[in-house]
Amino acid sequence: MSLIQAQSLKKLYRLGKTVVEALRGVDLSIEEGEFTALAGPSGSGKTTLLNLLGCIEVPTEGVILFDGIDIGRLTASQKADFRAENIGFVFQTFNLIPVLTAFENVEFPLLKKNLSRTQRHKRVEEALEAVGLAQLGRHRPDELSGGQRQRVAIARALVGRPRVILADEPTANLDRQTGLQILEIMQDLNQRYRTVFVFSTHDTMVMNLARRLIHMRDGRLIAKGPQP
Amino acid sequence: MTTVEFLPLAFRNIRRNRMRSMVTLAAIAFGAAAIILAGGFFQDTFLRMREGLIHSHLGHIQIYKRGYWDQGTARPFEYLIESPKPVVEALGSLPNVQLITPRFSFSGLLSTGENTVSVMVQGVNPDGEVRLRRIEGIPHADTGLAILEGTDLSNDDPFGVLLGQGLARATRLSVGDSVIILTNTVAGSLNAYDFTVRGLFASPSKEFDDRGLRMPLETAQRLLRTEAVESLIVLLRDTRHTESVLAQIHHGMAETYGIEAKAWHELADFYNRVVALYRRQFVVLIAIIAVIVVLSVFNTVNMSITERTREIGTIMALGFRPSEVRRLLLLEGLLMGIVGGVFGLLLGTALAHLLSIVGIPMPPPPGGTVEWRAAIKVVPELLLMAFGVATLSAFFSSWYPARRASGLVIADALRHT
Repeated sequence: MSLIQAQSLKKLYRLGKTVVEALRGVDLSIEEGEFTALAGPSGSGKTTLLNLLGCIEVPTEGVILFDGIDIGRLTASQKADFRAENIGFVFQTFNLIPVLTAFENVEFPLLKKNLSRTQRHKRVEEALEAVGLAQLGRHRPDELSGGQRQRVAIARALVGRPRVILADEPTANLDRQTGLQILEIMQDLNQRYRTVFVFSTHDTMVMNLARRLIHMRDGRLIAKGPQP
Repeated sequence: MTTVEFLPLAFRNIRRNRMRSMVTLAAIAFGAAAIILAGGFFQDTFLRMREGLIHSHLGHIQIYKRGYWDQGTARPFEYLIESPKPVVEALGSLPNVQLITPRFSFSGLLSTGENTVSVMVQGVNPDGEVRLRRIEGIPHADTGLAILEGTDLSNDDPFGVLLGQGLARATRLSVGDSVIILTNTVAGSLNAYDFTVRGLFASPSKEFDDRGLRMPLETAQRLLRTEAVESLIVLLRDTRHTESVLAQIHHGMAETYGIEAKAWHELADFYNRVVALYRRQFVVLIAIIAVIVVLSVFNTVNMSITERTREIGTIMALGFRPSEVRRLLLLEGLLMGIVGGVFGLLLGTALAHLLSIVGIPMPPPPGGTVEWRAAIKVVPELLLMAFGVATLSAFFSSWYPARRASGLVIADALRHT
C-alpha cells in the first residue's frame, strides 16, 4: 500500500465573487522513500497540493489517505499531532523564527515530543550536523545567509524524524550553486533516513535531480512520472 | 508541551519590538502605580479620619451604663455610672488598654450676656484628654483635637472652658471672655456657673466644633450636682485591637458591672458613609484603569500577532495545536502584565513614599474644619490589588487576539505578507 494516496482532490478558492479552481481532480500516490518533484508554472496548483498533503489546508473534494488514515476526518488538534509526528515542512522563504537561534529553531518542533532536554539537544546536534551547520547553532537567522537559513529549515523539518518532508520551492530564493547544495543535502537525507521528500519547483536543474517528476498545469497532473 | 517551555520564546517575542513593548509596559506600570496612589490616598484619608475621630472624642470604645443606648438618649441622667472606679480598674486590667478617661456630656445654654445659645457640653478629665488626643505613627498628624487659640483645660482652673471654633465664631467669643453656662442638674433643678473662655479647639467634626464646649469633669459634676459619670472612654494601644477588647468587655464585664460597650465604628456613622462612598469611587477608578490597560495591551498583542501571522502559521504547520498557540500568546500577555505590574509596584511605592514625605496639602475633609496634609498609605492588599489588576487586565486583553490567531487557516497564515 502507498504511504500517501490522494483521490480526486479538488480545491476551490473564493476570491470575492470569483471562484478559482486551484486543483481540478488530482489522483496521486506517494511511496516510501520517494524523492519527488512537483513541476509546473506558477498557479499550476503545486503549493495547494503540498498544503493538502501536509494537512494544513482542507480539500474541497476528495480524500487523502496517509498510511491508510483519512486525514480529512481528523480534528484540528489531531491534525496538529499528525503533522508533528509525520510531516516536516521546508518553505520557500525559510520561515525561521527570528528571535530564536538556529539551534533553538531546530529544537522548537521537538518541544511537542516527550523528550528530555538531553535527548532533544542530541537530536538537534545530529540534525545540524546532517545539514553541515554544527558550528552555527548559536547564530540567529538574520546572521545567516539564505542557503544557511534553508539548511536550518531542513534540519528543523528533519529533527522530528517525520516520514515525509514537504518542501515548497526550497531553492527559489537561493542562487544556483546554493540551490544545488540544498538539493544534494535533501538527496543525501532521503537516502540516509529513507525520508520521503516531495518538493515543488519550476527550476529545470532541480527537476533533473528528482527521481520522480510530476508535471502539473492548471490544477491537474499532466505527467506523473514513473514511481521508483 | 508545557507552558514553561514556551517562556523563553514568549519573553523574546515581547523584546522583539522593544519600543512598542516599553510603551505598553509603561501603560501597565502607570495603571498599577495609579491604583497604588489613589488607593493609598483613600487609605490615608480613612486612617486620618478614623484616628482623628478616635483621638478627638470617640476613643476606641465607649462604656455606658446598661440600657443607655436604648433609653438614655431620652433620660440620660437615669443611666449614669454611679461608681466608675471598679469599672475603670477592671478595664485597666485588660490587655492593650492604654487609657480610660471619664466624661459627662449634657446639653446646656451658653449666655454671653447679649445672646444665649444651646451647647453640647462635655465634662472631661483634662489630663486624660491630653493623652487621648495624641496621635502617633501617622505622618503630618499629631493630635485629634487641636487647640487653636489660648490654652488647654486644667484642673487648676476649674472654671475655664474650651469652645469649638464654630461656636466661638457664632457667639463672637474669644479667649478671656466670660460666659454663663446654665443647665438642669441631675435632680432636675436649674444651676448655672460663670466661666472664662480659656481656649478654642478644632476637631475633625464640624458638628462638634459648632456646638461643642468642654469643661473639667469635676466642675461639670458640681454643675450637675452628681458624682457619677456618663461614660468611660477607652483608648487602646492600636485600633486593630478594638474587636478583641470589645469582645472581652461583652463577655467578661458587661454583666458583672451592668455596663454596655460601643466600638468607635458603631458611633462614627458619618465616617462609615464616607468610607462606603470613597470605596465605590475607588472601584470605578480601578475599572477605568483596567479598561485603559486592556486597550493598551490589546493593541500591542493584536499588532504583534498581525505582524507575526506567517510565523504563527509556521508554528502550527510544525505541529503545534491551536490551543498551544493560544497558550503562547496568552503567556506573552501575562508576562507583559507581570513585568508591567512589578514596575508599577516599584513606581507606585516610590511615588507614595515621596508624596508621603512631602505631604499633600488638603482642604478640610467633609464634615471637618481643619486643613490637613495627606500622605499615601500603602498596604499589602493595595499592592496585591494593583498587581492583580495589571496582570489580569494584560492577560485577558490578549484573549481575543490569541483566539483569533489560533483559529487561522495555516495555509492562509503562511501566505500572509
